[in-house]
Amino acid sequence: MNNWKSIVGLIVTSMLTTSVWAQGNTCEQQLAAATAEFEAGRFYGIPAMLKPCIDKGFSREQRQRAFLLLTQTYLLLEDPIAADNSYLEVLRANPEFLADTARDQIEVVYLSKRFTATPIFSVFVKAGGNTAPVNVIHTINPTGGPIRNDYKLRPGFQVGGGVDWNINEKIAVTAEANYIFTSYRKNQFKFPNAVADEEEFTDQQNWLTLPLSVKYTFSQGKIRPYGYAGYAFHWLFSDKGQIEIFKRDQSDTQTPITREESSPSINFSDYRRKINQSVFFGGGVRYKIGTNFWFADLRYNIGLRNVVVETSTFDTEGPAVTYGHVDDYFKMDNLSLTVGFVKPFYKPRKIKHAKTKTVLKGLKKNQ
Amino acid sequence: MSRLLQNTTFLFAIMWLLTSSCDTSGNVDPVFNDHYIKYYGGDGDQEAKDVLVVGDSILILGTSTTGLTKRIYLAKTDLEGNLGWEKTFGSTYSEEVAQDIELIVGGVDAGNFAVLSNVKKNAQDSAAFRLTIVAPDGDSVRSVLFNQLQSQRAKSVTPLSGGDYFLTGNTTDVTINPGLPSDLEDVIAVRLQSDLTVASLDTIGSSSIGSGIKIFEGSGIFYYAGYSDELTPLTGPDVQYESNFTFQSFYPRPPGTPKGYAGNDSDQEQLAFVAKSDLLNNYLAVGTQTISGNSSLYVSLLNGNFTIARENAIQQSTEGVAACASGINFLVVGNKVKAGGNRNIWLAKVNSSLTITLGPIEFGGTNNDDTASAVAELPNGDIIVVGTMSLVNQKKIALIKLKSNGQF
Repeated sequence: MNNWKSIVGLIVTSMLTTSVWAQGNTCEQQLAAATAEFEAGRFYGIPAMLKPCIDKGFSREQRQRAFLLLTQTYLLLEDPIAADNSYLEVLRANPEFLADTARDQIEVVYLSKRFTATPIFSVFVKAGGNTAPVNVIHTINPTGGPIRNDYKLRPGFQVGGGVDWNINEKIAVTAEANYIFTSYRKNQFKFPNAVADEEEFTDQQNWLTLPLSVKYTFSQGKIRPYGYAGYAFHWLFSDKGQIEIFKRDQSDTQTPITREESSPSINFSDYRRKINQSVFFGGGVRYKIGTNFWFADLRYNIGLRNVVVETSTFDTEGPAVTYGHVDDYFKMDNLSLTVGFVKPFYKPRKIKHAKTKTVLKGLKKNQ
Repeated sequence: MSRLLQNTTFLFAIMWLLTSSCDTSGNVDPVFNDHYIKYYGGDGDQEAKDVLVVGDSILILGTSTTGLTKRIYLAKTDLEGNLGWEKTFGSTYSEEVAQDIELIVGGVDAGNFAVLSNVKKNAQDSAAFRLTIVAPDGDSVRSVLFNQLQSQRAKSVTPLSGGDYFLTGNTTDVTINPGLPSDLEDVIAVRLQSDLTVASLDTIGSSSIGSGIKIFEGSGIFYYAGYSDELTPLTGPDVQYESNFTFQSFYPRPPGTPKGYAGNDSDQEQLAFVAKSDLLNNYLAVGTQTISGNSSLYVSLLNGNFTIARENAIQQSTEGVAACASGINFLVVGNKVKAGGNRNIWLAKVNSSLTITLGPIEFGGTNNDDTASAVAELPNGDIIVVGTMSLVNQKKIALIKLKSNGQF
């Protein structure tokens, strides 16, 4: 019987609203009129009033309000299927929409707990700068006497992108593919008689990396902090170094005689392990713009593997015999600061297990 | 929540497994300690000359040049190449060039080292030589300057079992033993007593040019190995002299008949080094054969009585420098001459048929002039090569330690 009443009501209301529409009402006015009908307790005509603008005319924000009104209407009309569909449309209009006990009907709040718009996947692109601290495993002395090594940080950069696979609203598994350019400088002081000679070695590396991580994100608010930890595979596809030698000899004057020579760019790829691994941790903040995000990220990679091929230190014609240069065994860490853009692929959907525990908490909080 | 805990625990377990294989100083072997190239020297340039392995110590002899000053450079390292001490000998304003270092085997200085050097005198192209006795801690015990002739240059010192020393080289003072009108140099053999006073002086030969390279002690007979040259009717830098390796007894006097001449009668074969194999009681003489300006490493295998067993040019475009016994074989080092004139250190092992059985292996920068000086073998078969590397803007003494297969 109730269904028949609804149908008749819809027909009557449709006729009335068509008439009103013909009088040139805007969609905002139509939404306001529908809201007034709702508040007056006249529910049956509301869907028909809103339909023309739903089909064509509502902005995204208006669609959100319209379908929320329809959700409330169908709940009161005891049409759960239509209520569910309307709420899905609310989430499609605004995937970040959260029903609130202070603002929305308690029925809507309960209903909302059976839905989520959390994106299953989000993609992101990013770029930034880095520096690569060297972590020495064994110092290798190219001389018989004492030496001193000073490693210095140098700037690098990286670009890349990746995918977040969101396990739930807060936890995601992230896979990335990045290109990283790193560099470091090693100043070695040797033959320390009156004045030590100095060898300055500048190394530049090009990497492709595949980081995998688990990320925890605070899921509400315009600014959303996050943190993560993971494991990365690195492919070193190019390594070039340059050696500058400052030969300093004592002279009769106080100023030592210095002979300076510089090598051309030397390919060090044969002296490096191509595949490396690291663990990393980091965090940052996401800033919400519309339904997307900008983010700033700070990350530290701890290199796990010796970058140097252990049997390559000495050979018959390489840097050791040409310049007296040998590499220490070392691992490379990396500190990076990156900014990027996240595009979440929201997917409004019904979930199997409604999370209603927080509703009562919200009600108590409001009281 | 428990599922989240499970997942987190699983992830941390995975990460622990991945990170537990992290490279550290504890699990990455320092293989660079065993076989290596290490450089020695300090201010100025240093050129290698000789190496001596005594127990678990390596003594490296060379010449250090700073400005116009040349001094003897002597360093002691352990088998990993770590410097124990380094010393320089000679006065600040002289030119003193290292030649040879040997372990003293008898007499009051047994256990010390005999270090031989040539000292430039004021007159042009005039030299004397100095023998310095050095203690194991690197301190000079005593020395003597041999300057009895107008000019004399030494090539090697041979400490004798009784404590005396035999030194050989050459002199341009041919008045003592005049020969052919074209006689320009004579072999010289000087015997010093253990207190470094001169016991005897012999000048040998009437050839145009020549030099003693090394003296060996036989059963009451002393032999010298050297080279002896004759002028040819031809002119030109390469064909003016025809030289050969020579091996001859000289003490007790008078000098005996040469045991043989290695090389042919139309080319230069200049001896550089003779190594003795105690195992087979034979010798390998190493030098350079020059034909029309092209150098070849020339070797001659000698029987225990210094007769020539066989000889051969074993490597073209290579200068012979030094050798040492390696079981029943010999390790040989030389300088491989590259296009443009620069050289690489060259290493090979030859058997008694004078066939190369290991290598050759070359060491050197593409555009650098790198030269060999000496080779030695450790009891475990590891190979020690000492040479001079031109490291772009300086020369440094290089100690190269290799596995017995010639690899690092």
